[in-house]
Amino acid sequence: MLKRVHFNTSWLPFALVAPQIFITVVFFLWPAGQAIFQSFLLEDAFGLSTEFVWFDNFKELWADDAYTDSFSRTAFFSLMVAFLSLSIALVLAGMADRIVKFATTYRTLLIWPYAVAPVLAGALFVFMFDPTLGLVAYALDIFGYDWNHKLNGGEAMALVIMAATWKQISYNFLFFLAAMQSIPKSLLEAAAIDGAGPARRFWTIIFPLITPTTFFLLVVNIVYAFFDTFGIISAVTDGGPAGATNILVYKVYSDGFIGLDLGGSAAQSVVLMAIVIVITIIQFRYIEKKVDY
Amino acid sequence: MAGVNIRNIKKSYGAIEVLHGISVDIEDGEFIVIVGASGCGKSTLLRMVAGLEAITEGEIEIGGRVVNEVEPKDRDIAMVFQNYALYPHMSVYQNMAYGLKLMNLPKDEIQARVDKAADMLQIGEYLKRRPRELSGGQRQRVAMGRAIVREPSVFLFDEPLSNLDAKLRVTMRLEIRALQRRLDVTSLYVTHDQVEAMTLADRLIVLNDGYAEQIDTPLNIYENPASEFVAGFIGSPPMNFFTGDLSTDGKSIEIDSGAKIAVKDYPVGDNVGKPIRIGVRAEKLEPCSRNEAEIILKIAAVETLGSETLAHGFTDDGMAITDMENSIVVKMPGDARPTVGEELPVRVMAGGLHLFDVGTGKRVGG
Amino acid sequence: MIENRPIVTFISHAVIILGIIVIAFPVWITFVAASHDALRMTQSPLPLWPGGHFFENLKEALFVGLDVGGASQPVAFMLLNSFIMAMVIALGKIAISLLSAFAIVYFRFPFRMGFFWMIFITLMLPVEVRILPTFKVVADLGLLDSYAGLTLPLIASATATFMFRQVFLTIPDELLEAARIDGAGPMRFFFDILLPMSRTNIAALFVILFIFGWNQYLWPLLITTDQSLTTVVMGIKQMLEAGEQLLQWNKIMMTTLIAMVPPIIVVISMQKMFVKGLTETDK
Repeated sequence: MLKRVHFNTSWLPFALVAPQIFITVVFFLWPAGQAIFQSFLLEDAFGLSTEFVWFDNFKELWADDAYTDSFSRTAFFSLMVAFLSLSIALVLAGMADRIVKFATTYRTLLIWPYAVAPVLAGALFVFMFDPTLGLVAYALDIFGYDWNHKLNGGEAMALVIMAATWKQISYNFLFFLAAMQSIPKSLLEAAAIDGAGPARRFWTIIFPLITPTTFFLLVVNIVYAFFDTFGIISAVTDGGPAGATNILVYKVYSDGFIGLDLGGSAAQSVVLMAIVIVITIIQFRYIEKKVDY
Repeated sequence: MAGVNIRNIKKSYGAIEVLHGISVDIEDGEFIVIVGASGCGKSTLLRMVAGLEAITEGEIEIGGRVVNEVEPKDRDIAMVFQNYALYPHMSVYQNMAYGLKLMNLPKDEIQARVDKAADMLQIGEYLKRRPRELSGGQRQRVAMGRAIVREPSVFLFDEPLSNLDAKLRVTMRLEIRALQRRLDVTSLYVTHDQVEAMTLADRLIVLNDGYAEQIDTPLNIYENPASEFVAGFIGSPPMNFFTGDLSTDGKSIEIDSGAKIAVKDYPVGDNVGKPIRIGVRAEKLEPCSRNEAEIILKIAAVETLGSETLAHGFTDDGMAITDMENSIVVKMPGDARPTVGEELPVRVMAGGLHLFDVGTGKRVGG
Repeated sequence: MIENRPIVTFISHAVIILGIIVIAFPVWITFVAASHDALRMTQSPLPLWPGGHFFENLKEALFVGLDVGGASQPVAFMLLNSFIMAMVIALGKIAISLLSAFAIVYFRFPFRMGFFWMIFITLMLPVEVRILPTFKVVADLGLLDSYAGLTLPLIASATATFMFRQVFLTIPDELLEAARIDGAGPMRFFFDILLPMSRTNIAALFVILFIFGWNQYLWPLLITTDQSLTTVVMGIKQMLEAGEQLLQWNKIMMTTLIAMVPPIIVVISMQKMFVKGLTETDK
């Protein structure tokens, strides 16, 4: 935590942390405090009068079907994205781990989607699936499927899941591959001598040994799906059709900036904060310690 | 050049006192080795001299100037660290020159000093390399070079050889000693290795648990250890110890197994009739005939080293394999061939006896 | 590889190559779309093979832009904004994180742990969670439509601070001691020893943060109304909205391509640093 020897200067350390602390207080802590404060207030649309309403905003949230729907929609979306991107990445990494030749080339060819902004990922998928012109929509049409994510909520959800998954595979792949490559070769050789074939080795040795990474990635993926997919939603569906892809982050934004419901938006912010805090605690409590071999 | 005076130095971390008042006057040019087991406070003492650790109580003078509040860089010292602490991103030359640059010395002066030191240590050809491209011994030399170029009044060494392999350690030990003689700079050297301590020191400070058990020349310490701790710590193999009862006439000691050891002319003071600790070095136990014997050992293990043979035995049959650290060691000539299981009658040679108080561990008599 | 099983190896290669193709497909058709003229991009089925208008489209997108409701911005201009924003965010984060990590690791001072926890909390407050109140703060400070408003609120970073803290903690104490004996004060030690020793970590972090900055979307969307601050990532959204009527897929996809390429180049050319940065900041 701390070095054995320290510099003894009275004002310097304060000056050193000042920029970070200043930005933290002004742009993080103060707004977060505001959000919490706001979430207890009811303000009319013109901002003329405010009233302290305790937990009314939260009660209203839970009573609001649009919000609870958005909640379960977000959970579904996050789990799907996490599951799909983890599975695909696991398969690819498992294959890449077996290959000595070209392994780095393959890695190079797989990691770049990480660098693509969520909005751009969204744009790519909008283009591919554009109901009138998109190539994939055209191909589906040949098979007799009429794709229109602008009208069909399920298809819209599928599309944002695809875009979000596409972007996240490279990240998961990198971590899986790194974890697999850090398993001592002698362990796998011992298993091979014991008579375990490649598939068996994967499930009985590699997969259990990378559990810490898997759990870590699971958390990271859920956080990603919760918060970093705003751009995808914004580019692909704008939360539509009829709110079918209106996940929590998008709703906070649209209620606050488009709907101008300040108290409600603040209450939603507070709920999101609580979610992040819980996830962070899980990450630090359980993942850092327990799943560590 | 300067002497170092340490006056009743104490160090506490919170409520825990780790050094309990150490005093020593070190003369100019003297080589002092601070030796002790790990955790005894020896590094702390050295680091207090360096100024890396605050002094809780007492005074340290370097060259007649109290330096308690003086920054390390202004103490006129140089230090060699156990892990060398070479700056990994700088070349050997830059490592050595860094401190001089911060002293604002002119470039040609820096160049001259580094070249001179590099020459002395024969690292001239490595000056452009990074530390990681050097072997352990070479890094060690660079660390020394960095100390030398400062031309300090005092060298501080913090276990500088403990990261080297055994063979290199012997060579570097000799080099350090030769270098110190040549430069004639006061040196404080911390080690846990008693061989290093014995061979390097003009005087030794034996530290135990934050107390200076004895401060003296290596030979005096070897021959007249001030306490059971010192006796056991200095010397290899370690001194043999027995517990016994001093007879009321003060002429002999009966040890637990019933054997009697003659006290001869050892001044036992007022300890007659009391239990006492006996210490005898391995080379002071000589094999003899059965009727001259004071102790009869049953040999449990034999180490044949070529130049000498070490026989490990016990005074009774309870010779558990795992109890070897309590065995009695007899040093025999290299051509002696004791066998395991045989009985070895030995007696204490003249002047081989050391007696210690059972309670305090302090030496009894002279 | 442990044993020689050509079939398993072949399947491994095949699966990966298939994966690469599927993952690259969206980008391929983007590239294809960007190389045709506007007319071809209105005829279904859309082409699967590049046409001959790539450079023409590139030039037009870069220097003329797409006509979006009369307020057209050349993409080159947006690129400049993106670059400035990404650089300021990346360098700013690195700078303030280095300084605060240095203070927290190497100094003992009142409220040290308090500051540490304050920075830690920012980990739990992504911008998406506190957009509205943060927007208000920025508005109150008069920073709307400014580079400061665009970048400052994104500059605080617990992860970067933690990473540097971790790096500093692995630097042996003896180096600081040696430096102090050599006569280095705190800032000298920082610049002469710590910075050079952390340079690979700095580079690794830079890659990650540059991408983070470049890809910012929600925040710039909120606080800029001024067209002159539009970044290329934001520009795409505006084009998508307008493009549906104008049907200029070739230019939209060209812009998408342009927006994607800089961070992809950074990732691929600094792959080693990128992997290091990713694995060390998150773990």
